Amino acid sequence: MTGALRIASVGRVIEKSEPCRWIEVQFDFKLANGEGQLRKSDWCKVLIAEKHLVKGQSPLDHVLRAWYRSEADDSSQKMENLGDGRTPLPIILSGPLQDGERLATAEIDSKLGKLACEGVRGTLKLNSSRGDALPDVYQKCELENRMHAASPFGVVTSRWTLHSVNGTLVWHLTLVDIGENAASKMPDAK
Amino acid sequence: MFAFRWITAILLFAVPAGVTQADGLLHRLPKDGTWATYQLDGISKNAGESLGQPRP
Repeated sequence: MTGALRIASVGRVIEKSEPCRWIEVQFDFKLANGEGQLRKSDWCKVLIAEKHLVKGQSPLDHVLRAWYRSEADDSSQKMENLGDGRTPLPIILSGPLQDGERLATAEIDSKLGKLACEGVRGTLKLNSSRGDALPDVYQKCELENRMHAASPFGVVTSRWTLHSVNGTLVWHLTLVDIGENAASKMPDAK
Repeated sequence: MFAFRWITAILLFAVPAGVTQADGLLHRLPKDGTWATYQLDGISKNAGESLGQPRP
């Protein structure tokens, strides 16, 4: 499986006297098997007060509005439940990790070149509204991040090990491109 | 004056501007309009299958 995940800050607004950000995430992946290739693209866009994007906070618990769109959709749909399993938002917007531990600094290669990156590793419990009894719902994510101040959102690489009763899925994320002047791909989501 | 300098130093370093430390994928909050793309490489295994080995 391969793909790409794009994170962008696509707007700064004042909501109830608080400065807030629209954060947009695009998640593309391709799965090749013996019967062909499955390709999927999803977008989601969330509005969060900047004060909840600080240490000790859980941005996921403070999302003011959220929208979802797949490439097959004509328009964006409001997300009522961020843990509905359609997006990686519970991981991207998580708060402090359970049993979090700092890792020794290591040299990591990415778009930014070779950098000495701090590391953190821990576990996230994923609470899906679909219920733990459903086999494809991931219940736990072991997360390992490598960070450097030169990365726009701080993370250079990330490794997600997702566990369900049916097995395990490991995603390895590596920063490959950065830029400015991002425009929302969901302009109807406000 | 000494106390004033210490208070100023604490304010400057305790809350670095534009820096967040949430533990998901957002550890910093850059200026609006910034984007970052991550390449994804995934491996899945069913229960009882070893990571890194091809599925039957």
